[in-house]
Amino acid sequence: MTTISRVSTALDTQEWIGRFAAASPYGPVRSTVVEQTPYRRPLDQDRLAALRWDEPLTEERAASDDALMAHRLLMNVYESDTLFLPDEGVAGRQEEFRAFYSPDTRLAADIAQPRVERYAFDFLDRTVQVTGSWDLDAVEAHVNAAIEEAVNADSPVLRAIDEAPEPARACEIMIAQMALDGLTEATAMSQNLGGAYGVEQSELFKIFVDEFGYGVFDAKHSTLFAEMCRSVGMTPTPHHYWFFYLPTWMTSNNYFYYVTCNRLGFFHYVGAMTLLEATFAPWFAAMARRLKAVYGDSVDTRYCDEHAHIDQHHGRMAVRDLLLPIARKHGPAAMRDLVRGIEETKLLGRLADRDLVAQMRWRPEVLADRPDTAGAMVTTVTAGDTFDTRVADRDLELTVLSGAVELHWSPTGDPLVLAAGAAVPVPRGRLYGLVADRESVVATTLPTR
Amino acid sequence: MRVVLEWPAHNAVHVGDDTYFCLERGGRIHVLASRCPHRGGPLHLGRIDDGRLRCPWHGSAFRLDWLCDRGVPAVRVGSRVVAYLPAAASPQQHPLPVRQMVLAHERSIDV
Repeated sequence: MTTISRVSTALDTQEWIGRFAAASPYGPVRSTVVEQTPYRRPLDQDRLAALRWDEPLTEERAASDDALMAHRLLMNVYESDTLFLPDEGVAGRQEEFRAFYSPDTRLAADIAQPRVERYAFDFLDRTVQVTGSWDLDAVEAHVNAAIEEAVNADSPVLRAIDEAPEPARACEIMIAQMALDGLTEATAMSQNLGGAYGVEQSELFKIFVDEFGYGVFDAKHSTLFAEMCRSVGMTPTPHHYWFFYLPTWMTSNNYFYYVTCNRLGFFHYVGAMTLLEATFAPWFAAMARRLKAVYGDSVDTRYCDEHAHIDQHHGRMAVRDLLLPIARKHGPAAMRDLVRGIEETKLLGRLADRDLVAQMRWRPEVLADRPDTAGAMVTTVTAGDTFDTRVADRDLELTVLSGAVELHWSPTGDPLVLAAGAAVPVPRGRLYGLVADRESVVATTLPTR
Repeated sequence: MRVVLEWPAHNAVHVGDDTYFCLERGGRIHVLASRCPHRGGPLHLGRIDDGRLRCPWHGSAFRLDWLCDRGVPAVRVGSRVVAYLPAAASPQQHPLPVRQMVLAHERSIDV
């Protein structure tokens, strides 16, 4: 076992964040995907250092570059406390394994975590307000209304697939987001299996057992998700598509770690989990139909089919055997947190849907007229540069002044190739990255049209 | 009984003879029964002074935190406020969100 080599109490949070991000697992890579290792999750230290941690994100900035950076960092903080072992074993990856779980880096993560969480999630406390004297009847009425609304709501994501210029690319943008949870499914849930909290602990365990396939690896939900990925030609290594996670989807995924790492979040977690379990079944049934329509019979939809079935049970179990008994037993303060969890996950879901639909609908196209690039900010992209993606914080136009670049905006599918003189608009909130095979110069301007 | 208000377009709800009103406090919306526990005076027409809401009929004063703790269960996200009111006296009585004069306001008169 390795122990912490040194502890400095003189560092401030920013320095601890910098120390965490400077660790080798978070170093850059050159490819647009992360190959064959769960231990590499690039973090741009410069962009992290520029974040103003005392000015938390807002709902309006949920799909921003700051949110992207903060949630990449936070996901690494959480997942460096979760066990990942590569399929081929760690024998050839001892150095990576030890670096990823280094106690020194862990210490930095533990110190940075509360401040990063406050930055990332403070807006929930301001946006979602739960007031008044709650009783069991009100909680039950609210849960039932929330479920009914969600089940009967339009699904903008599935509609966006229908309307996408390239439906398979749209599906794969979505699958890459789902992989955040799908390949590590129920990990956050597992954090509430320990301890001692009565009969509800056993009720949660029943749901967990289903998620884990009753101990049969081939039936585990994450295994079914991996098979779905393979059937559409996607790679199921965790975080293979690291650069293409949208900030809002990382926010939703990190939220479940946030409310399970901290035991004060337990009632939030139960509310949030209950809403999802109670509304997933029809959503996954519809998704399976869309996948079949896009890919034909070659797509493995067992992951969706399993959810379409078992979540009918999980929804009932979570409401009847978990949430309501917990509300009854633990009283008004717990009731408010249960309701908060429901509303927080609804809000995060809306933000994630909006972001995903916009990314699916975006099809970058070369502008007919080249923008005036006088006085533009100019960057150089060179063959062999490390790759990264960013979110446009306002509407932009990129013009290739010399060389040629590829514009990447989805985890799969061909990039848009931009020759010298070509320009492309990037709408606010969209995620993109650039690759060049020779020294190229790109100008960034604001649209004047 | 569930009712959905659009704040601030709606600042009160009528159900039969009962009125519930929205009180904004510390940036949060509380939905309070207007009927004064003393003789049923209209608390939404009372004034707030030094953290207390004074009933306009007989001057009974109630601490705001006490009143808010006893507000009806409510959730606000953005402009949407969902409140759960006690069951109405008659099944024919339905909640009606309205905008009306509410003087019980921490900062200024709200008409």
